[in-house]
Amino acid sequence: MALIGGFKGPIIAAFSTAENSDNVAKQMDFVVPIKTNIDTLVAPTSGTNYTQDPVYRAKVNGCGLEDQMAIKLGIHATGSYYYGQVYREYIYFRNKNGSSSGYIMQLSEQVGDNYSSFDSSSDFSLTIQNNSTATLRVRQDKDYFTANEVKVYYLGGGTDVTFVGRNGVDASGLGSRGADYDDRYYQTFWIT
Amino acid sequence: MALIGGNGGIMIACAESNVYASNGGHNGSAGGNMEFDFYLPVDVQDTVTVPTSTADVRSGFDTRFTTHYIATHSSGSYYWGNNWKEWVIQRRYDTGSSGMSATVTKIREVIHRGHPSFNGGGSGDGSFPTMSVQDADTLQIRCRIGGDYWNSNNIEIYYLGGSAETPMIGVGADHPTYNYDLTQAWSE
Repeated sequence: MALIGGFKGPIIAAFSTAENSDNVAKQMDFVVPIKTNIDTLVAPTSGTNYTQDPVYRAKVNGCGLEDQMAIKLGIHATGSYYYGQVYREYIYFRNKNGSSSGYIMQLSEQVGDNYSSFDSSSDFSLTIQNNSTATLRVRQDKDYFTANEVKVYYLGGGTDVTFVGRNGVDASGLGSRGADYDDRYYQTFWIT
Repeated sequence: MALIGGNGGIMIACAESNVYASNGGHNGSAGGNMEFDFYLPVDVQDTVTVPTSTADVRSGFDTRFTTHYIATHSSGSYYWGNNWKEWVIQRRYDTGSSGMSATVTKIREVIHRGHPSFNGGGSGDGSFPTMSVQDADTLQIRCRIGGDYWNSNNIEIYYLGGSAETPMIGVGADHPTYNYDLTQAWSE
């Protein structure tokens, strides 16, 4: 298998309407990865100004909160009969002050080599089905009812990500490079 | 390395302003923006050996020339809202006196102002965060956050692509994991 990009752009959801026999527009719900902590983040517990350490912030009450986050998705909607393709990038926002709703923002769109009857349909959308569970709904019926396809790619963000900032295993304090990982990803913080 | 998750996304820096505001530096009073520096990966990945023979296209691989594609998600919880920005940071080298030089360009953004005063207010782009090059030699980038009340700002910085520290796929590098069915050669 050719491994280009090291799984940095996985497909997290996809559907085909090839088996769609009742001529009703198809849609799909999927859950985005925003709150699955795979490993335990170890924060420093001592050291100069250790409570200002970015890792401390991330662990205790700071960054990447599941109720205040953003995730980037790319969606490729295609059809093979009235052929065509559209690619859109979306940002899904959550904010603790808008916890009941969440927000979908479209970042960009590229339209492909489409047959006119594919273009004429605007039935392609991404909406929030359940914000509390981070369930999104993609709907696509731009082509003939048995000829639609969708692929959803994860492109970045969320909280379910690899943190390459300072590791707090060694309580290093603000401004130190004493942590046990690659210190090229060093981060420091101050107030101006 | 600490893993928040394993879906391929990479967070390279994060910050939250509340503790700084109450931890001496900010004195618990309003005013002042907050900054932090972070470094971008600019070296050749450790396991890749760049050949010395000029007959090999990889021989000219130069980490002084590098591009980084990153995203910032800043959010606030008082004058609340969310802001996603994407940036390209380019570095080049000239053999004259200027040496290394880097630039930061914001590519695009989306913003949701839950409160009309969030991040500059109005309907335009968000005022924060800003990015600037602090040191081109090490590609040290300075990020300034703000836009919400002084103790309510959060930011995460995600790495989306680019870098000289990228595995060279498809050019026959001596790496145990990758597939080299793709080939690359000089042409004229």
